[in-house]
Amino acid sequence: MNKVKKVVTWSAFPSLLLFIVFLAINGAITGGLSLSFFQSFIATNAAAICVAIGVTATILVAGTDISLGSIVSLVNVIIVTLCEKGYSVVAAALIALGCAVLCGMINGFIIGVMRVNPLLTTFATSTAFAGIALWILPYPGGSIDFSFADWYSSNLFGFIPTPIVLILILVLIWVLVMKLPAGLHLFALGKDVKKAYASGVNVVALRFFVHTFAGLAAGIAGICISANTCAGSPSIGASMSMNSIAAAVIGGVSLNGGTGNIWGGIFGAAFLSILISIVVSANLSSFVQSFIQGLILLIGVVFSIIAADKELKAKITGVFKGGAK
Amino acid sequence: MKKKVLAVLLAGLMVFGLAACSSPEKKTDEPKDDAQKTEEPAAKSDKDSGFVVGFSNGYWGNTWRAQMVEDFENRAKEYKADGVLSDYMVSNTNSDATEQLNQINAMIDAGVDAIMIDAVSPTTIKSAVEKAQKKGILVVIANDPAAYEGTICVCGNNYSWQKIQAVWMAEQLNGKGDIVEISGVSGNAADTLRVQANKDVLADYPDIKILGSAPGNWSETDAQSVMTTFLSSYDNIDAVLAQDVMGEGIIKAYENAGKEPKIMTGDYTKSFFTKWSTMPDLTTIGVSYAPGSAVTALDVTVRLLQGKTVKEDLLVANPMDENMVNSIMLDPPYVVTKDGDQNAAWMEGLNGTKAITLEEAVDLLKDSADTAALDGWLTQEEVDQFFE
Repeated sequence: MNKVKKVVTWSAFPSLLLFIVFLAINGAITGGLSLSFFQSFIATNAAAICVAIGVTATILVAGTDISLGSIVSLVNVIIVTLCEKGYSVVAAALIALGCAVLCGMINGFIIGVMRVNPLLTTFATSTAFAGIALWILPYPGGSIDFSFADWYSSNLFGFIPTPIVLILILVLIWVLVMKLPAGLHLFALGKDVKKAYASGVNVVALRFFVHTFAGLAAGIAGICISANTCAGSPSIGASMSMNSIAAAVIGGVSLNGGTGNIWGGIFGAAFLSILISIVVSANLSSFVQSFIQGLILLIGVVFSIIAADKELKAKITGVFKGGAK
Repeated sequence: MKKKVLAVLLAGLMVFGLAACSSPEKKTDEPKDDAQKTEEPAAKSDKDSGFVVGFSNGYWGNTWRAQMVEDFENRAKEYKADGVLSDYMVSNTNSDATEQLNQINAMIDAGVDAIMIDAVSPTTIKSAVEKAQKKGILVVIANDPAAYEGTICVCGNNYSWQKIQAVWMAEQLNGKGDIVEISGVSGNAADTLRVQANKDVLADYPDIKILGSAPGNWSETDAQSVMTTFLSSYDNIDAVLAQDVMGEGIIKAYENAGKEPKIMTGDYTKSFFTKWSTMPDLTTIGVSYAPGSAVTALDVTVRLLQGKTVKEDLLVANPMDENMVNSIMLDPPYVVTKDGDQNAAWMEGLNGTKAITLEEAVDLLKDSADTAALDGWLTQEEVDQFFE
């Protein structure tokens, strides 16, 4: 009983529930969920999930990062350009991953060491990173050796799909950090930066770390999306930054910091992705698709916020009870 | 504790997923082999009606695209009423490549027979195209060209569209004069083809001098500011060679400078034709780049599903990859001039293009919204011409 209660009050639970419910609805509409559905779902959306993990980390310390989409684009064009220049896919992917981490470190340095507002910093760097991507590859094009796509769609040990392995790398790093004292410090920093600082938490190092981690997450996302499309497009990640923040909020991560965990980001992103499939599968007219998608999203956000906020929940129950009297 | 419960939940979900799919997996293996054997975009020809067609549209932030989707839906409804289509699906995204992949995957899982794709970016849909082909689903690239093996591309012909206007302008100038050129968005595939068409045509007219050339970004306001700069820099401009959307901006620039435009290429929207009607001294032309190309793409898709084959000699090289000969390029449905001369020099070598007068164009658009484009598509008989 205690276990069940713990899961239900878990901050990521509403998003997990939303995801499962909508997965079931999608299955009902399309007449059963097939393995190929899961494969293409995870292959297409692994990038969005990785970016959501990255942005969740930055939101937890009461920051944010809106430059991750641009880093994804940058990684994509770097991989394509290097492959065209004759580098092996592995080398190209690793160099691009290094660049992504470097981008994250730049963000972390400006935000952590120079103490510039995270929103302003990443707004500026997002334009810069997107600009570099456009500079490297002005037009969509290029191609990556198909062995990259084959690797991406294959399974590790014969049963774990590669995209899941890539996501698990991020999860593992995060879980390890959470085991360290730094994990606790992270939440303390998110709750109250001044108190955390006064208690001897290394604010600069933590900020630097989360943004570097976010850069790594965007780098892995870039590898996922490049392997999935096998082509370059300088604007491929453009819409991912905002979607990932929405995913985190749906996943019960508080924008004020200190509340939530990366599972929330993961399930939030998965829910957003399944939503797109549902609206298409339901075969609605073009003119109402956006409306329905927005409506479900709104209901999802409200649901997850009410579920996470005990005071609000008490207030709402109070209103209903009051009405009954 | 939480993690343990979560792990149990996830494991349960995975088992459920695996159990649900163990049998359909075998089924998908068979069509995979079929698709690999046939290089041509041939579909299952065991039926000639009751198909499901999906249309994935990559952008719909403007009137033109909304009109394109509406055209598609109207024709799809006709097919549905006839029973040729049992159903159709449409999805739109605003330039979000990942969202489009999700939408295409959803269509594949919904069991469509064919998917028409107007891609967000010509290079991003590879995985979805391959997945569809593995399942034996026909893929047709519509409106914006993209090059993929085993697909067919039914797109508007940007080259011939611009060529008509360049030849028209050269004829109006009698092969001699000073002009300015306003292009679209630099680097865009359509713009590259159009600029090339201008270059090729003007190479035959050595006495036409291009004073200046600048991008107007298919924006009325950008075109207006570019034209204002041109008007203040050059004393005499005999003609303006521009692209679509920007005509009214160019006229405004002339009006603000207190001058009258002499010869300029125009636009094909109702508002432009209305403006043109009030300017008797203006020499201009409206060549429709028609949203209705999606209708023709659907007509072609249906015929391919019915097992018909495209005449190979009518296919041309894909604009995105000249080694891939898989494209049907559609010439503009209408060329609007003052006198609507079907035998004029600029009407040569076009397929299915009608020359009409300004009055006829205004009449065709009388029930449409102000921003609507002069639209048209090939008749069923004309589409049949493409097939053996």
